[in-house]
Amino acid sequence: MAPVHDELQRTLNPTCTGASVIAMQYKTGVVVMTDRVVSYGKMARYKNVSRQYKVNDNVLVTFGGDHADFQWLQNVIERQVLLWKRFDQDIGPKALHGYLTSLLYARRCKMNPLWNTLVVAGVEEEEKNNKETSTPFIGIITQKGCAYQVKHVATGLGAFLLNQAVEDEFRKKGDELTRQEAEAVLKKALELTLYHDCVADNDFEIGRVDANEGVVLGKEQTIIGDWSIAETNCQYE
Amino acid sequence: MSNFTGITATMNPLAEMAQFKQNMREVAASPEWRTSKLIERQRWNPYSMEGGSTAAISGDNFAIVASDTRMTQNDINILTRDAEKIHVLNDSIILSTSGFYGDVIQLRKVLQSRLHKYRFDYRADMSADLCAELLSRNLYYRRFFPYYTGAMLAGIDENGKGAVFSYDPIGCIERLGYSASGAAEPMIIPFLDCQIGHVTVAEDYEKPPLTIERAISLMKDAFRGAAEREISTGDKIHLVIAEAGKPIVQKFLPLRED
Repeated sequence: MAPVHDELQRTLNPTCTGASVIAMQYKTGVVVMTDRVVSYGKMARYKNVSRQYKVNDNVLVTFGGDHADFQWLQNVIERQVLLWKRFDQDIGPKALHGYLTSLLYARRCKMNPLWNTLVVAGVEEEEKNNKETSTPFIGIITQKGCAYQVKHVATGLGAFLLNQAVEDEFRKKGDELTRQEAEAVLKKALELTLYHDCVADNDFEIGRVDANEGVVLGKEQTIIGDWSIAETNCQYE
Repeated sequence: MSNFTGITATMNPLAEMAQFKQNMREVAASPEWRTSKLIERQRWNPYSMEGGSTAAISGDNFAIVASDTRMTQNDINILTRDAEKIHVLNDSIILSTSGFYGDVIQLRKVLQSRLHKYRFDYRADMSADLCAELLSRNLYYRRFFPYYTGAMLAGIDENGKGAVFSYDPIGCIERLGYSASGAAEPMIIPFLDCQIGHVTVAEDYEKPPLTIERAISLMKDAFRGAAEREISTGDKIHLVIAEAGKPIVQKFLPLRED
């Protein structure tokens, strides 16, 4: 029987979503920050849920958009990693970025998109077992299969609010940025999303991929921020 | 259910139930209150425009291609300042693109793999003329779900002359002296019409010949002008120069970043 309501069987509207992802390169790796809330519309439906997925020691995939689609993607990625394992290879961030680009583009061509903005962060090994030549990598893929590489990024509403702020901070030091400095920028950026993005949360985590340490998933952290401005800025009585 | 009779209904209750379910599904999928206007508005758009512009000029023994490197979202937000819109496919073929970047990536991948296969089959690089035809066919192959790319192909043709091929999204091909595509196309084309085509200048106006130096400086001027007035064009000029008998040269020049 022909599925008459097939548009209900495709993700044409996201259900449970994650908001912004902010990522930045530093000298020897990449730091990625996400908050830890799952929104159902504008309600903070589930708390303490991570949006970062460790693929292997070199790659960390982070996402904004639909949670269910990403959980399915985690399975796909895992299978891809196992496929590479069979040939004694570890998938690198560039390869995974390319693979996911093709996947998301193929799905959009079927008019059945994966409702995710993916941020593939990692360290690309130019030579095997030589950490000196490893380079940090951040690749973005939108749900329509538009992919690009950057040195710093903010997605979701953060793209409108924070891209320029993050870029300005990055340009001050450029590639010489240390991890502590990069993390400080990310925390400041989160504070800004918290003030302006109603689905952002003050519970967050900072994951990192370092050439020497590999993937280090962040611990749960909380910021309060400065809400004294609320006294004077409210539009209600 | 036009020939519905009570007897068949009681004779075949399963079929009736199936029909009932089918009707319920149809109503659920398109309820009467969903007007065609509403459906149109709610439909998911598989395309997005990442802005930016490209232009190409061909001369007697050269072809130059330029683009900006900005990638935008909804024309108001900069995604990245160093996106590559010009793709050097081999020693004599340059593909320049604008429009939907997902399609651009796919199109580049398709062309690169076809060029790779050609090298295997014929032990030589494909020429620009052949690749131009190939690109046209590839675009038309997706006639009913087009690659939304303002593609242009430039390079040195089989006779050592500069060539620029311009396409529409569904593969209409034309060989031109100069062309532009993308967001600032309506600004760059008239400028090139005036300076290279000499179609808008008076009879007795000086009409200098098109040298490679002049083409390059015109190209820079065109993009500086476009960056001044068009918001999704800016950041850097990516300039690619192909001259007969010489390797392809690529340059990046600064442009407005605001």
